[in-house]
Amino acid sequence: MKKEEITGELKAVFQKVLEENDITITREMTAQDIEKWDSLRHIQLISEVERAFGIKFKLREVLSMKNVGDLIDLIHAKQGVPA
Amino acid sequence: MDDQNRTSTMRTSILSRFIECSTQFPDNPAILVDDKSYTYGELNALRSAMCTLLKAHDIKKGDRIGFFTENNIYTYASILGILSCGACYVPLNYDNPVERNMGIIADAGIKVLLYTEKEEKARELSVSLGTECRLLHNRVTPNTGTLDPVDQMGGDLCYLLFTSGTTGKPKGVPIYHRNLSAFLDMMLESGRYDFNRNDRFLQMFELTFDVSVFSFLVPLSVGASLYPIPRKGIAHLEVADTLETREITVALMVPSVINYLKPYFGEINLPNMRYSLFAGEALYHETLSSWAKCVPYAKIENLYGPTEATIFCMRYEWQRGESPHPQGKGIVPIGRPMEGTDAFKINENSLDEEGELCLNGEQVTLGYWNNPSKTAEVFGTTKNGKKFYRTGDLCKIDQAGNFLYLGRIDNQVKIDGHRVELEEIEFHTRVFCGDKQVVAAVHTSEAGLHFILLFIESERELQKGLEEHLKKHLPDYMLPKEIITVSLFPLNSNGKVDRKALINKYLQTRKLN
Repeated sequence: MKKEEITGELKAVFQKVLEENDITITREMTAQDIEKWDSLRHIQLISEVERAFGIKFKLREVLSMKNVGDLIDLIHAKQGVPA
Repeated sequence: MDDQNRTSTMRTSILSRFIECSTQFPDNPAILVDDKSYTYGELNALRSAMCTLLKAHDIKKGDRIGFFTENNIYTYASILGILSCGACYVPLNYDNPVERNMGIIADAGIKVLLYTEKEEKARELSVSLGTECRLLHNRVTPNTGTLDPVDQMGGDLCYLLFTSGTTGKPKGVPIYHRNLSAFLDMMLESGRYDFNRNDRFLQMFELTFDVSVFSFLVPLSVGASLYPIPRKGIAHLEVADTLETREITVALMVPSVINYLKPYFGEINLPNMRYSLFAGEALYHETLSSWAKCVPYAKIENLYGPTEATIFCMRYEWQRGESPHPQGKGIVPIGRPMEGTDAFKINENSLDEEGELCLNGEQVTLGYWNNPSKTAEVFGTTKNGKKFYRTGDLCKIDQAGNFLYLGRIDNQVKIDGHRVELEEIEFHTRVFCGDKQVVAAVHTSEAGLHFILLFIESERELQKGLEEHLKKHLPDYMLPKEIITVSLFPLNSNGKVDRKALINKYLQTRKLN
């Protein structure tokens, strides 16, 4: 899956978990930018992303993600598609 | 307040312990915050400077000093500085709604509000309040000469914390030096714990939450170092990162943290952990059993205590391999009272032996701040003249003498360890919705995560404006995760709103787990 496609799919996951229809996904976005994005939603987000993309994150990977861009890159890498 | 308490001198004060550590080993690390490490000597010099600044502004014993919980070195130096000039500290979360903070400042009679970077937020408050509360920047220059703290008496105010109140207004819990001193004596002199200067303490709590006092004052009393987690970011992940990279040896956490980390237990290994302590909400046996493998050498304890009884005053030492308590409903017991505290139950129902847990002892405060009616409601006196506090927690005592927590007698709930009175949410909802029936409830998912649901009996959707309204009056952790309008509330046989049926009906229609 290309990164643009990942971003598109990610948008659907974010909309569902954060219950916001007008979310724009940017690479720089962090939990600080979205009010509803707290510990509870974060857990839900991660597990929804894992389900949607059929992957599993390690704790280290979750800890190392600094923004949505890192998340996209990680999903991309986990799917084993060359950039 | 009785005269005896007011005049009794203290056996040991937090400041004398801290200053002794600073003198003995000034170069030892005290705190690592904002990616920078500060030694005991450096922190003491900042404390001294803070105290000088406050004294220059005529701050005296008994004055209440507010500060924004910004989680930097100046925030911690401020607390020590406030205590050094004999004043009482009142933490304010700058993220709280302005109106809530204004209410606290007025109720506490705060003379000075300290801040580091959140100047705009501080100005917003001071403009609304007029000139009575002065704003002071707490970025002080270290003071080379050490300034000795003012002598403290047991009856002097130490800190004043505000917790959720049923009437829609937070209520103040004043803790006096004799209360804190009793807590520290119990923690440090009883021989139960062997905290020492090689220990590294986790500090994961917002400073408005009283368990934070354990996480920063205990290490500073024994010469250990503390590691506050950054306020930005996702809390449980920051905790996981800090535990591992800082090789934390003493960690007091709310059980929610391990509920959140559960999917990753297989990857967590913390051989340095000596004490894995829990407080603030119900601790589940099953989750704890899995967590125990992540901390193979740690003593594991469930600690219990309301803010009114200073941090915690009961403990249960959990043993590896023990079975879930037969009467505990999957919850780890809260154990027995620690030294200096007496626990008993009242209003017992003789059939099931459940009763309300009451506490008496040196750690229990005298009553609420400026709130005699609430004080009269929950503080009582035994036949022998002992004052006691009714916790509102329903309990049972097993044959071994351990107390079991069974739930609340009222509608108070815990969200990530924060006390939430559901009536406070309902109060502000009613202000917005008029005469509509409203119910705030908590749902716990299968994973053990709690969320607040708010139900409104209405034909029309009210979500949007209501969300904004609640944000103006309630802190983040009290905001409902979902607002649901229901055309007609189900009633039970007594004609009251059937809360359980309401939640069940909702869960059937939506998958929340």
